[in-house]
Amino acid sequence: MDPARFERVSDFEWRLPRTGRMRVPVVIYASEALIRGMDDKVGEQAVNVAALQGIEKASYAMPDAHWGYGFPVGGVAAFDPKQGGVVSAGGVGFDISCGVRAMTTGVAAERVRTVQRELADALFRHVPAGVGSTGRLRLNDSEMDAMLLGGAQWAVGRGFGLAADLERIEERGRMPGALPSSVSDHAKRRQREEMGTLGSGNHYLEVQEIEEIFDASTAEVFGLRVGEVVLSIHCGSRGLGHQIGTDFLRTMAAAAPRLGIELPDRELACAPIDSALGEEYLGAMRAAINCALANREIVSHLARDAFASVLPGASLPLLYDVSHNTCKVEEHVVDGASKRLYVHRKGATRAFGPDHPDLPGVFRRTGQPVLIGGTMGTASYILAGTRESEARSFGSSCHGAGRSMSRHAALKRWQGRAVVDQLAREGITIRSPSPRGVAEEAPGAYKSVDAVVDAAQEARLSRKVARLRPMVCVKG
Amino acid sequence: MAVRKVLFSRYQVTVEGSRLSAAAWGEKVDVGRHQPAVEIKGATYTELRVAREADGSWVAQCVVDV
Repeated sequence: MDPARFERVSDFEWRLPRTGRMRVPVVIYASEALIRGMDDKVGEQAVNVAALQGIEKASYAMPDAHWGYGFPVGGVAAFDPKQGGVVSAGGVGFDISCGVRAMTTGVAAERVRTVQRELADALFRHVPAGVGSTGRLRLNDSEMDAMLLGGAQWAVGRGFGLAADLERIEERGRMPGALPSSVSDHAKRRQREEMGTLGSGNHYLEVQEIEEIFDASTAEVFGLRVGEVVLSIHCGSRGLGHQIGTDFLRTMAAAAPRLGIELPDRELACAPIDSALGEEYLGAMRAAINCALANREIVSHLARDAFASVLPGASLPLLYDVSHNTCKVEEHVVDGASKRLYVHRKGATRAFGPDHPDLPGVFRRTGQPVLIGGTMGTASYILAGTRESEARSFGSSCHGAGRSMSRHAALKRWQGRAVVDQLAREGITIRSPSPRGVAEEAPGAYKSVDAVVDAAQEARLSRKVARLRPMVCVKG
Repeated sequence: MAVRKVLFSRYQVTVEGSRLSAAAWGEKVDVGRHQPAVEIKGATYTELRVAREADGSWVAQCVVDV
């Protein structure tokens, strides 16, 4: 996009003032270079979102924004039900509650290097990954509903993961208000064999070396030390979440005329929060959040087993688990008044700062960890939420750099085998059942996450705590 | 694919008026042989288009989220 289209509030804040059907301005947090690199639809879609009923303050886009279905990926928008606010399946995304969790290990990278291949093999054996892979759990109907209601709490109750994990997960591992009856049978069938699987595409499990610390006191609270190793998992609500997204995008688009909603773009499909359809979607979306939280808890359990089989005695406490495709009900101050808002974050991470009441006591001084994934071959980051993010973005930050080329183009340029070999030469061990999947995820196919993270910091949405370098990467 | 673990490759489509009926043939997913790389999350309305081309053939398309 041409930066001249925008009002430059600062080097890292760009604005489109209200015009036409916009009810609020558009605010994009990015460097000028990142703005230039964004496709035109980011601005277009952010403007469309700004026209939706009940939107508060602004239609936001994060430094890693790119076009998506209706809402841009990297979009944040909050709605007030008292003003006829809407909830949108497109504002959450297909992979509901896709997110990242990081576990510290206390193990030195030097030690991991001596068993790197064995560790990669153990993780690959223990954690089902890739298209067509199946999990070990088969949930019957009542267990399926219990999982959709209970999330990670359900998983811990079933023997997966640790009770101590729960306070280190958003919503303490269980999203209240889930309605399993709003989840279609087709969605449940898609999930039946996928509990405890990693998925494919850009989902991964990584062992990472802490390369650099930017904020020593926060790093100490988070348990991060240079030269030690962290285990990160990136995956979502699997087939169940995807089917819910599909089901409701269709239902909401079809219902728009009946609900009196004029959509500038059918993909914006939404329903009033205060409507039967809105409540049905929220109930299903919350069930999908629980599915993702349960799934990451199970995958962690399997990863811990694999890790311990190669490095006995290592314990992997959970640092934090964040989700980046959700709609959550939160209290935010707008024009001096506290309002209960429905905050959509699509490809955007919650980034609550110090003293936020929703955070566990351990993060009161630091703000919550914000986990930003990079590519297989480049850095990932751990950031911390800031106090300023509350007023600037409803407490939100970026989620990771997007693709710079299509999967199709990546396949033409790279061969999976060659990518694996090249990364091995750089000390990174890849395990994947799909050479094609590896080629599509080649590091060169992605934008620079460094620039995105720097912009999020300059925009005061979150601050850098540590940079991580991949050592082992299991992907589907 | 997630539910029945089948990949389809051959299709026979008949359109009569506004009704479409079709048969699809496929086989059970063999990860080693088929190497499926991405799973379909869902079909979307993006670039949704059903139209008759200049040569008389019909095209139906949409963007699929993977």
